[in-house]
Amino acid sequence: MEHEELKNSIAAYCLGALAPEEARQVEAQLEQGDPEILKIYGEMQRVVRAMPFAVPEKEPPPTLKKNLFAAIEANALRSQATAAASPAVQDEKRLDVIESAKAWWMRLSFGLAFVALTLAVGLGWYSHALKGRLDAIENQLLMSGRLIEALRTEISNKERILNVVNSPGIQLVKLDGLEASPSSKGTVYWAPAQNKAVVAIFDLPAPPSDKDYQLWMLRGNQPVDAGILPVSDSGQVVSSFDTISDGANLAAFAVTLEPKGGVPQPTGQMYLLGAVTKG
Amino acid sequence: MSAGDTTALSVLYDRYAARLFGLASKILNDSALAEDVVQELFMHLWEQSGGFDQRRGQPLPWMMVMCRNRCIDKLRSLKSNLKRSSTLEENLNEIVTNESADPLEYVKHKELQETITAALEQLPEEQRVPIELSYFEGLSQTEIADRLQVPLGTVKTRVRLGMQKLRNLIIKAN
Repeated sequence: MEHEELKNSIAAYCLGALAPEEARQVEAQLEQGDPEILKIYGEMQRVVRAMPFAVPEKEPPPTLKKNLFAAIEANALRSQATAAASPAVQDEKRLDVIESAKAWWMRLSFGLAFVALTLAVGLGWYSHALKGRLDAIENQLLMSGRLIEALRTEISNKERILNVVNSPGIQLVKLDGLEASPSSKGTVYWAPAQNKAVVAIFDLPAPPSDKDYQLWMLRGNQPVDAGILPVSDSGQVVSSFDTISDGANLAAFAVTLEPKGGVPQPTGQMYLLGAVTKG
Repeated sequence: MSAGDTTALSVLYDRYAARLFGLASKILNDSALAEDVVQELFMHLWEQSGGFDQRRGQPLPWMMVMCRNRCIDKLRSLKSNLKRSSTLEENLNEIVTNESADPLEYVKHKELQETITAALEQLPEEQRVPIELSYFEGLSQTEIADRLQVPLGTVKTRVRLGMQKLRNLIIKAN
């Protein structure tokens, strides 16, 4: 298309009045960017843009706006429905959400269960430890109580022994081991004024489990029970006892091995014997 | 106008629908078809949102071009005539008509309406008619020649002369 012919065609082009082939030729020239051609094109476009303003306004029917916004709303709903009807994606999203929630709750549940279990074990262990400690303390207190009681008894016994031993007019009676235990030795500290005595024995064999050593006072030839003798693991005996009131008749002291708990009259083998020396 | 903001679209409609409907009615000479075009145009604006780009200048001239092109496309479609893409034309329009927003838009458009109306009235009928047939009916110069029963060269000359005169009248008026 020649330059002059092109300039003449631009007006028709802007009006849209060219045949398609002619329009393509104009467009090709416009794309070359010739300033003079572009200037003419701009001026013609300005005219064309002004053309519709020559038409008077005309109020559209009210239904047009309603239809427009109804169509927009319908499109929006259709878009939502399309999105919702995309089953794979929606199901995946839904499943993802559900799975995610399930996983979260599972994790939370396991977490809480673990914490609860840990607390339970911890509290159980702590409770057990505490109970053990309380038991230990109780045992310790019990043992201490027993020890205190034993010490009190021992002190009491020793006080009694000391009182007896320190009594004025005390008489000593030696006990000698007999055939059943020749190495055994002992002494009876007798305070006739108080009718009390203390016996101390060494190297006495441990009695069988069903037997006890029993002390006897011989009034003349008549044995009188003076009590069961406790024997230590080292074979020692220290024990106090009340003597008969008519001490002038007391002839001797003897130790026999008797059935457990003692008997009214001696039945078992004699281990020690000591005669009272009449002064 | 952003997506979801139907208030902005409503304002745009209230401001420009009458002018667009007037143009569409003029071109299509059918109220129902004109309604279709105007509705389609606003739907297009809505769907294209982020909406109207202020850098394109005043929205009305741009919308008028779109409205006219759609009307012509519809006319050609109805007549089973050869369709012509208006895409390039619209793009070129954007390049050339890029104007900044004008707060006196209404006054400006009113002045433009008076100017172009007066300019068209001053044109000789032999120049005005082929221009109007081309613009408002989308006829090609060949079709105009057939319609007016004049030679094609005569139509080309009348269109060119008429357009140059309109340009001069508009420039003079401004």
